[in-house]
Amino acid sequence: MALEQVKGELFRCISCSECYGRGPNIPFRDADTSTPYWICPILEKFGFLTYSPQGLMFIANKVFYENFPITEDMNQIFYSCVSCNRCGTQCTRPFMDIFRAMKEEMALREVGPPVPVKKANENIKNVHNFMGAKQEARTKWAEGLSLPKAGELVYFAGCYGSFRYPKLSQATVRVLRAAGIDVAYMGEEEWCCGMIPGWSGQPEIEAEMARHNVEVLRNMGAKSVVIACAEGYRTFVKQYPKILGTLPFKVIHTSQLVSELISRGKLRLGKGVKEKVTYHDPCFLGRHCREYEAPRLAIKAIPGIEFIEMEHHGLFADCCGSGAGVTGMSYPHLERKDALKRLKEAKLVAQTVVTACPRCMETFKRNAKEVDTKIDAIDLMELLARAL
Amino acid sequence: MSDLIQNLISIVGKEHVAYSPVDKLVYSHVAGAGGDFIGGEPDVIVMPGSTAEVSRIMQVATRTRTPVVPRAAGSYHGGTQIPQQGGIVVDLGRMNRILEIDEDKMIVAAQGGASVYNIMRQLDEKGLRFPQQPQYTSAPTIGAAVACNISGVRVTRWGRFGEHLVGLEVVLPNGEILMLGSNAYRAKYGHYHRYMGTPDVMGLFVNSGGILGLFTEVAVRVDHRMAVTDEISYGWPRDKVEDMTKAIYWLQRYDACDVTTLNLWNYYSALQRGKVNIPEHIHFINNITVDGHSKEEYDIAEHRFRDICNKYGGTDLGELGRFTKGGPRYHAWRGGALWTGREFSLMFYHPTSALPDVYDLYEQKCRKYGLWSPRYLPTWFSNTEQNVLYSYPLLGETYPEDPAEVNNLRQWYDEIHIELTKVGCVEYLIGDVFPKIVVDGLGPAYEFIKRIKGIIDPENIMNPSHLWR
Repeated sequence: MALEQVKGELFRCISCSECYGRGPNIPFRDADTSTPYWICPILEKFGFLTYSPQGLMFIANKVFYENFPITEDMNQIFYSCVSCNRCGTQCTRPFMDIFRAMKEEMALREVGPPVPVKKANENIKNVHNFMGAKQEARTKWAEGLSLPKAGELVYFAGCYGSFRYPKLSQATVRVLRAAGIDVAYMGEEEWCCGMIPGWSGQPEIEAEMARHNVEVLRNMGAKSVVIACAEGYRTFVKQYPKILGTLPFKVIHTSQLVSELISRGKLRLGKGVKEKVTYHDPCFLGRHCREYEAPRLAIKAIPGIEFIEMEHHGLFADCCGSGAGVTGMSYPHLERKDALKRLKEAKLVAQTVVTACPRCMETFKRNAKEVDTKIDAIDLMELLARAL
Repeated sequence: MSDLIQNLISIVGKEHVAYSPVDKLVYSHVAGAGGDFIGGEPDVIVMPGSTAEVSRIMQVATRTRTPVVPRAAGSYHGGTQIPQQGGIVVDLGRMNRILEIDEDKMIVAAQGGASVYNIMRQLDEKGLRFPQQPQYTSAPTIGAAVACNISGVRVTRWGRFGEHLVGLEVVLPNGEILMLGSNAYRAKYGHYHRYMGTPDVMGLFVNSGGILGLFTEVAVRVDHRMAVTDEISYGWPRDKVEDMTKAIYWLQRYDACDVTTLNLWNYYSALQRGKVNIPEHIHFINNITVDGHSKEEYDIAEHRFRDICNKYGGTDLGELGRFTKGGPRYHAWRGGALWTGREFSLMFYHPTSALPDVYDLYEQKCRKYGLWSPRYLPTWFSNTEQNVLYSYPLLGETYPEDPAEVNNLRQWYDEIHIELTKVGCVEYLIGDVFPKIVVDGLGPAYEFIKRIKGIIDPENIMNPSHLWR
């Protein structure tokens, strides 16, 4: 059973309810640890405790220990969870590992993943990207950039940076070159990081992607891999070592690299950007990998920029709604609720929401357009490129 | 789909009714002793959005003689929020509005499903607070705070949550909506006073554990936030428990804001991680909250309390109290539970002077069953109230794959309850998890409560398993 790997955690819930919020953690405005009102995103949408981290954990417990039957409605319960990991920051229980294991258990018993996710996983397995695009199109973004195919610092563009948002990858190369850094890239040898199958019960596909990507990077002589996508970054940092042991290279998120370059005076942002912006912490970079400062440092270094935090930021940032892609693909109407909530909060303080994950950016752009919230979403690297 | 479910859907809409096997499974559960030993699945879970909807749900339940169990966050471990078998669970999570914060009348009124922490935050914005400060998580609701008469910081001076109740809207089992307190007149002045020139009917519902009705509106007296609040911390060795008890007695006499007594097991995980430094001879830790309307007032109080602790041989533990301050000391013992991941709690009252005897009994029973070890973390946590201690020991870690271990804990649980009852300790909230001696020991008082319940709820539909055995 897939749940076997987390069985020691399944009964460790004390029902204290800290995992799902429904208020501020600390009810005092001036306490050092003061927090805003927050609520688990799925509990907010569905209301019933079935849709709460402790509810999901209890279901997994009963499936493992009492053979409670896995039913189709568990798809909605587990795939509505956006994997934002706010529960994981409130409690020491490894909720994310438990939910991943439960989805694997469901897949083994042929319940889930939901059809759009299953299709994405098939695409990843067959053509190595979730959209089902031809692999030769993966290199188009790099045309004319004369990037080497070997080197110590390799840029992993990811599916988004390759197919959906070539401008993001082009901006990344431009910014790094401005700091005197040349990156290599993997070309057609780059495969999807495997994040989506990993979060939808098919870790064997994730492992296949991991083995391939790491092998290619090793052969390229990579000492460091830089990634602009929060999901790809988390997959490399958290999942790949579980599959392959210690990686033969260092993994860096672009926000970390550029903030370091700015701090060392290597990257100069000469052109001002007169804009009021806020920053959306991607769940996979923030709560999953605890990187909150680097993107902010980079944004604040732009001359002329006015940076304002949303009420829910850092540890308490709300999710964009895409939920590692699997929630957005499975239940777009649920994704929309989260995206609109986030955009409305951003709009209260800024004209533009900056993020460090192309999936968050896409989710915001798609939903902002649909409801005309009149707020723009942009990736950090594109914003920095504007300031060069 | 049953007629019952169709009826409920017609009242609240289908998106607020759940009845799938997996929903029923989740609502059959609470961690800790309640979750382990009792409970069955409801037939349906319903989330009403208004008092009128609650009333209609209760009418349906009475007409069909369907048991009803109210449910809020469900973090109480006695199992009062778990159905025995079948029936309706009413989750008030949608009724979460703060209705009124009146700074002139010094009251706050909210719907029964409003988060206590959310209310506290709104009060804090206005420089107000509950006299007694609940210390849980953000999930518990104000309706549950009345039903469970919750504890918290400052209980030493102000008593429990129910002491400050000034208004209560109750939906009775037959669907009747009852407003108690000054707002019974439903007139201009609204909520401001608990008493109506009649017997204190409101008190009947405090600590009632969901057996008499559903609380849809609650009004509570509030207080000004103090200018200065801080904590001091004193420790005593295990064999000086009597001296410590004398110190607690005098701290109560001199109007300490809050005194909480913990044993060393609460700090076990923090000690292991090097987060705290506690002298080796210390076994009991007392965190004393000191406050004042001004720095001068605070200084006088702190000086007085330190004198008392020193006189009875306490060791100053410096800023240890601050380690657990904020979100708040709750985290000290919760940290213990999280360390092992499981909670097995007792909650009872006893006179302050009985602390040495009761603690001896607790340690003796834990040792007898092999529970006095880091694996089980036999933590002890006493809130000091005016002349009593509300003790809240708990154990961590049982492994469900080992029935012998679970059975061992069950035997410990029964035996310690029997012994505590024999010496006159009083349970916090009677529930199904307790051995029969606990209710039998109440004698005619128990029979009287049953008669009252029979009048209010003749069909015995409200949480039927938790008073009637």
